[in-house]
Amino acid sequence: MSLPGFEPRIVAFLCEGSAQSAAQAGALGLPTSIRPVRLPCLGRIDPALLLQAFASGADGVLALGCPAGRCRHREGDEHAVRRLALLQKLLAQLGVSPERVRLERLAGYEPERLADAARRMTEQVRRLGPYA
Amino acid sequence: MPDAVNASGRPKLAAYAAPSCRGCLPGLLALGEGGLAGSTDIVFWPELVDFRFEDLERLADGAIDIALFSGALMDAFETELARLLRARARKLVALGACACFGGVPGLAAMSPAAAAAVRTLDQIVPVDHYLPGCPPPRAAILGLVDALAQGTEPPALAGRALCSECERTRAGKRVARFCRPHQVLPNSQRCFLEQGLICLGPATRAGCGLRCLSVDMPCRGCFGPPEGVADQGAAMAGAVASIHEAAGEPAVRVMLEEIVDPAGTFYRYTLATSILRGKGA
Repeated sequence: MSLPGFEPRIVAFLCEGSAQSAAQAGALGLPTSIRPVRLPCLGRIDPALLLQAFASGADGVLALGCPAGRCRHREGDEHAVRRLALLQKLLAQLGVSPERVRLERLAGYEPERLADAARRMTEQVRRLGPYA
Repeated sequence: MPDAVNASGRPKLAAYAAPSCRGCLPGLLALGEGGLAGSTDIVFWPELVDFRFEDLERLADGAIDIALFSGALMDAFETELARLLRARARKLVALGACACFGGVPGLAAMSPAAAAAVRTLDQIVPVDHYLPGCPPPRAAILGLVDALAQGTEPPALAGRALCSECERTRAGKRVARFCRPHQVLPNSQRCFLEQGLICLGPATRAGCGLRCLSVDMPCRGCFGPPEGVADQGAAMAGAVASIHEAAGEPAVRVMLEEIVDPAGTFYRYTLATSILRGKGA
């Protein structure tokens, strides 16, 4: 149900230990669809925060954390994986496509992967159409 | 003269149960001589006496001292009655999980076939006092009515989470596997969550008197979220995901299978006030 002219609004939560550095290093820049929110660790991502993003007008949420085993807080990334997975199941029950939420892992020296993740998420959400 | 009592001396009481299991109000009838029937003038209580909508219409605004409203709001009649009761009553109480948070009927929002949104009482009219629970503890209802009858401020609800009152021991360990209550015989001394049983204690307001926990039933969340928590389901999803030890995709998939119905379990009573489904949306 892609709408003509629909420009998705995506809230991106960026882990300071990786994605945030990638965003700063990237001369490529992020698509205008991305609203970045910086977190000290992706383990800080709170399901209520994510729901609030949707309630505030986001069409999708992109969580960007460290590669597996590279969390400087030891297991913040695993916390985030479990929370997002559980939240996706819960969202599906409420009629919200779990594809509106996506977790990507990348390192601080990979700005091109960040830009790519942002582009792919924007396309995915564009296909889903607006939330609400 | 106390603030909430009419000239007769006895407070004029109204009680109404909108669609729900209607289990909040009948419980009051079993309270005996010290109960509401002995200490108040009942001016509207259709479950008890054959009152009609018109009886409520005929009263003057402010003629009722205390109105107890239980149940969730699902149709135009209930909405109109809530508005009328609000106008006639000096103090309006949202009684029980349904009136406070939409309760179990609020889960209708999970069905695409739901005809209309389930609303809480304060999504329709301003509410003076809240008494959650499914049902609210009888002593708490009587305490609230007594305080209102005497024109004093009713006891405040506890702000903290149920875990703060729970006496079960916590070892601080993670959970390898969640199971459902019928699959295990719970230990009566240990934290339910640490035994792998989903207990809404961390995301639920204290003050119920530990009714379920004391009979080895995990908390189902009928007191709603504690102070400062906007969304009970989200808080519980966070707590459950934090305590589970699953690491890596395959283990996380197994975890998701263990938690069969996250929305229905974490929002059992509060979906109608949740961030995504609140505001009667």
